[in-house]
Amino acid sequence: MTASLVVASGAATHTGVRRSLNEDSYIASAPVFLVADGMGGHQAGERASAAVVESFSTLIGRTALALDDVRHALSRARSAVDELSHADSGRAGTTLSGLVLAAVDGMGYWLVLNIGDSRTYRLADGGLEQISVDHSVVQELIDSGELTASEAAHDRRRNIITRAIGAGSTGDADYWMFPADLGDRMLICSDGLSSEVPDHLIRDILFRESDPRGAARALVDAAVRAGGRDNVTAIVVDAVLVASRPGSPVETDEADIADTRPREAAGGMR
Amino acid sequence: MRVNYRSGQWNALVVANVVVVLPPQADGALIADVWNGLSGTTDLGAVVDLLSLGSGGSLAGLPDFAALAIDGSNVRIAVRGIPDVVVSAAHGEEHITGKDVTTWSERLVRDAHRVEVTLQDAAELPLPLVGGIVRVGAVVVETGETSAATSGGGVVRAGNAANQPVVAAAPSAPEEAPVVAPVLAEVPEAEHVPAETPVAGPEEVLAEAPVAEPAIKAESGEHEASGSSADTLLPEDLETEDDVDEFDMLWGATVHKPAVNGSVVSPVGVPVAAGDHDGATISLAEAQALRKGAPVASPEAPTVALPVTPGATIGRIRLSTGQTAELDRTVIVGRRPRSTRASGANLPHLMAVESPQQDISRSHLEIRPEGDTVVVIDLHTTNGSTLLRPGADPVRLHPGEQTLVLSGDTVDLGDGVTIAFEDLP
Repeated sequence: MTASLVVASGAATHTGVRRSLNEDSYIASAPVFLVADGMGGHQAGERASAAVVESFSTLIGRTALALDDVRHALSRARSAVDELSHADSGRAGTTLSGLVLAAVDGMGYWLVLNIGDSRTYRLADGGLEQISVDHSVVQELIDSGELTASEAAHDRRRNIITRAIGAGSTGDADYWMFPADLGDRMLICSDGLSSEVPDHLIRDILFRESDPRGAARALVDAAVRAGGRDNVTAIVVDAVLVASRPGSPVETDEADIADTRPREAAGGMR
Repeated sequence: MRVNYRSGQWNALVVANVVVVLPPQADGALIADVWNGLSGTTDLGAVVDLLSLGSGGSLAGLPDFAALAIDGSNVRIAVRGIPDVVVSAAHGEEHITGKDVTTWSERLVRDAHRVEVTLQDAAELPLPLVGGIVRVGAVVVETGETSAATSGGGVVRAGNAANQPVVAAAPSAPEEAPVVAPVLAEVPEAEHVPAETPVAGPEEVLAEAPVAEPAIKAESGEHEASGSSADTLLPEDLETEDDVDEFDMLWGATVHKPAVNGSVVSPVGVPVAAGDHDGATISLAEAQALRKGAPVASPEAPTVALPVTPGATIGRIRLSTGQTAELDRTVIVGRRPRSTRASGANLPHLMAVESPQQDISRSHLEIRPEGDTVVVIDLHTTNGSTLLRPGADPVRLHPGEQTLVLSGDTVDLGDGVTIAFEDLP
């Protein structure tokens, strides 16, 4: 099977300046790009995030993944984290956010998933769009209008998440699936980046650093310089070849990203 | 055992010999867990275990509750918090509350004939109940072991089988009509709680009427998100020192805090069928079971928890391009279709079609199984969609509105692409 979506990627991670352990784990190898931010003391978080990433590593090398592939891997990940919790009698848990490469009738797609407060963004048409929606207390307060986004950044509850893999949560993921465009740049990060570096600076760095590896490194550096209070991980994924027409082979065809044309304008039928 | 209740906002879970009452804001997943654990249990300890397990094992997270286990005339009672229980027994009345107790009160009362659980001001009319989950303000259980008076409405003989069906024989008087228990469509949503438990009028109450069972997902471990109440409650202060240390609070360690008190856990974007709270709605799985003449055929038959059958086929679509799809989930057809936030069980199947004239929109038509029917929705497209039905004039679909389709119908998307509907239920 021919790939419908070919990407170039780079990743970087840093323990930060305040912590002794890096409990973040990541996987950045086509078709799987995920960040897991572990939690729970005594290395439990480190093990939990590593176990989740490990569960997805069997998918590396596949051309494109379907929803069921992700759900099965997630189910394995949940079991692995539950076993850790039992073994350590602790409360190991982890977030998980990121994307896998998918296809719909031969067209390249992003399948984004999220559990917790790590994030997946898309840089397209000059703007940085947050795709994932945090499972966090402050996000709920924002949704309900009790808190503004700027208040949330300083709220003391900002670190409390409402969903995770392990830690007594159901671990159900939210999913988004949408077509990839040539030139899309996706960013996946732990909250060590998004809570230290404001979105507009993230956007600037993603614009400035054309190489995905350089961009990931620059983002992590910026977070560490801004305080580095938490572990910080960033993955940058660029769409370099996209099949954007049903059944078409991979090529840089950009014709079909235009808006739907009204029939009259197209000299159409009715 | 005979159960009567008066409607209110609390959740009463009633099976053969056990009654559990949970607060209005109780999490849907907790209710589901307890309900699934109740079948076959007559042990109060097991019930309390279920509750504490569902609350993350922490006492602070344990909801107020009342639990009754009835064994002949012996009634075991556990009460925490608000519920107020009065037991009438041979030796007189006993009053049991969870007041001034940090855990819960537990009591065994022998020779009891009547137990009344009061939760809040309740509706006047007492209604009989054989089993299921209902929204209550008060519950009265008669053990049936003495000839003591039968109070309240048309009393239904429960028998001993576990999990009785909800609708029973026709009532003797119109105002004592049996009720159809409101369906807990996965998620009890606080703002959608019917003010009164809907009562089926006597003319609608037929012995063979479809039973609206609590639609509780049995799927293991995958309770789809629960409780999207708009009035998000804050998780109260972190429960234990273990949950978060000073360092974490100061320096930003992520802490997982399981949602308590109905705090929102669910994705907001999960489509919820409108008008689903009239108490008469049944789930797709139930509808299919009904069609197969499954356990609900006889009111005396024991109710069986219906498995959720995500793979159940209810027809398919065939595109003029040759693509086909089973309608086991929502399908979106378009030039470059997309799906916004959805849970794993609800992520639509996407189908892409070519449109050289760019007549067809990126996400053009949504095809959604809805109960045992199928509806189509034009997704506010530039050029619209047309429903072609044999023997009828073509109909242009109203953008954004659901239109029922039947086997043999075809929808024209433009640019020569049509969708045919086959083998719909």
